[in-house]
Amino acid sequence: MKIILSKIKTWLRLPKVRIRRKIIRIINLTLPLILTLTYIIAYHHMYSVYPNLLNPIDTLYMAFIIALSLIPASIFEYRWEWELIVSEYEVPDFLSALEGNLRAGLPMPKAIRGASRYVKHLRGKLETVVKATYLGETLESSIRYLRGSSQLIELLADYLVVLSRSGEEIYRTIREFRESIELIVNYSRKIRNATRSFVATLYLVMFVYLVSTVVFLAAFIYPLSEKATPGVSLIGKVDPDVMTSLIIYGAVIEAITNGVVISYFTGSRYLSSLIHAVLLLFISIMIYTVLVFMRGLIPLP
Amino acid sequence: MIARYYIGKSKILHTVISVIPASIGAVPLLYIVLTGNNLILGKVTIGLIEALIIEIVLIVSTTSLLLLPKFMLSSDIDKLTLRLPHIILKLRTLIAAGEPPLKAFEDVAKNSGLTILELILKEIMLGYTPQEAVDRVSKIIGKNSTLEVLGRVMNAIEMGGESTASFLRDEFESLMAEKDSELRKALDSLSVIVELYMSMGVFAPIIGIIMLSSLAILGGIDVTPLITAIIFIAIPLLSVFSAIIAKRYIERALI
Repeated sequence: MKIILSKIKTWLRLPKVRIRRKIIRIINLTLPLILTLTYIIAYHHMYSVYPNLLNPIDTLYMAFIIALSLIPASIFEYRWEWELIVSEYEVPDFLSALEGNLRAGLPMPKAIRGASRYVKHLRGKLETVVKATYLGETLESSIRYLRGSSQLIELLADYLVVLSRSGEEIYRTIREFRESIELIVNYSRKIRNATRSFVATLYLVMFVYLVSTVVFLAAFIYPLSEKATPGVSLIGKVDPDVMTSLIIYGAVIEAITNGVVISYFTGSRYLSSLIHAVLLLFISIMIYTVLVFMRGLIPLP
Repeated sequence: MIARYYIGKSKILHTVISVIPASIGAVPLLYIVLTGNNLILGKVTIGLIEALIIEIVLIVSTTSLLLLPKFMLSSDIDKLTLRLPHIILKLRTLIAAGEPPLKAFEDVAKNSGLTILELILKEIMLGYTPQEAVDRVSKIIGKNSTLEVLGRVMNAIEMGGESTASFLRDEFESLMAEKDSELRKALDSLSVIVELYMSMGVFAPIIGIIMLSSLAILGGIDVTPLITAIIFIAIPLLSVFSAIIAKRYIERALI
């Protein structure tokens, strides 16, 4: 029974496909454009007219689609940044364990395998390196499985190659190397802590935009447009629907650009702040939806 | 060094090709200004404003093309600055593990993918000493603090001996201390840029929208195109500008 179950599990398991991160990024970042175009085409197919992009209801749909299409990008970018940080933080621990194993007299692949138990996020890659050496590859060649994520990991990979080559000097270099790596990791941690407060800017920016535009529309534009009598326009040439639509587009643009800009401010290697921006965008859409459909819920004159 | 980024590796050819877009854009503009008539191309009529917009766009392309080599060179220097601590650390590790200093540099330069290091290596291969190679590259690029550090490193490599690894360790530590002070400076500048970004990218557009709407209500003028321009052009442009400045400041402190 167990054998049958394990065979079924094997059949049902999705094949592991390694797609290059660059391609995933391109797909993720073009997704808003693709989904928006799909929405416009689908709308035209269903109603035989194109959506009115200056109608608040259609604008809300568009904004919702854009926010929805940004979810994969924001999740991937956040996860990649997080993985990178956590992996880099693990390097000194790994080196410390490796030093102990080598001092105990273990051969290099076994020492790496033993040290990989002390790390969580680097373990998969390190085990692949060791497996490749067991299958007959040299460490110099199998180390490619570790490479590619960051400068620090690259440095670790290079160092492991040096270690596999060197002889008597091995212990002296490993301690010095670990100390230097610790210096780099602590410095990166310092940058991260010092720039973390910039993420608050993103929340502040969206909060200010949201509150001021909602008050402007609900307390100024809508009452004036509703009080207009035939022949006497109190609102001049301002169309409340057009104004609402433009302000919703403004919220979408503010959210996306803020997500990108704040990622640069925090020195991230990926657009990790996009996840905050998308969250704020969904909140903004909810508030604008209340403004468009259930204006009475907003306690303004 | 910069010559490798010129089109056809020739400055004259690069300048000639770069000037072509602006020259093409100047033709309709000159025609309209000199004759006083609109330019008619088949079904399309180009007036003075349209010709002016086309010329501005093409001048921007020409300027970008002209500045591209300098930008690429500056990007190479930035990459080297960013990776210098890693490079010194790797060099030190290789030397401490018993590799000859020059061989260690060759290994680092070949695997780094950095144009400036590859160029220095090329000069060494041509027979110059490591110090001379750095001096020659410095002459082409101009004075730069990163190249000064690299010069000191190459000097130590040239001398070789027991103390090279310990010199590189000191150099790495002093570089990290320098980065630390850079970080403090970068954070101060970033705080100012964040404030600038908030006031220009967020508060100014909101005030603009409210003021324009009030004008439209009182004066009866249509301000929709202006508000559209604020939302779709001004906000993204200011954000891109802020992102570029932030990137330049934070990159100095990053490793």
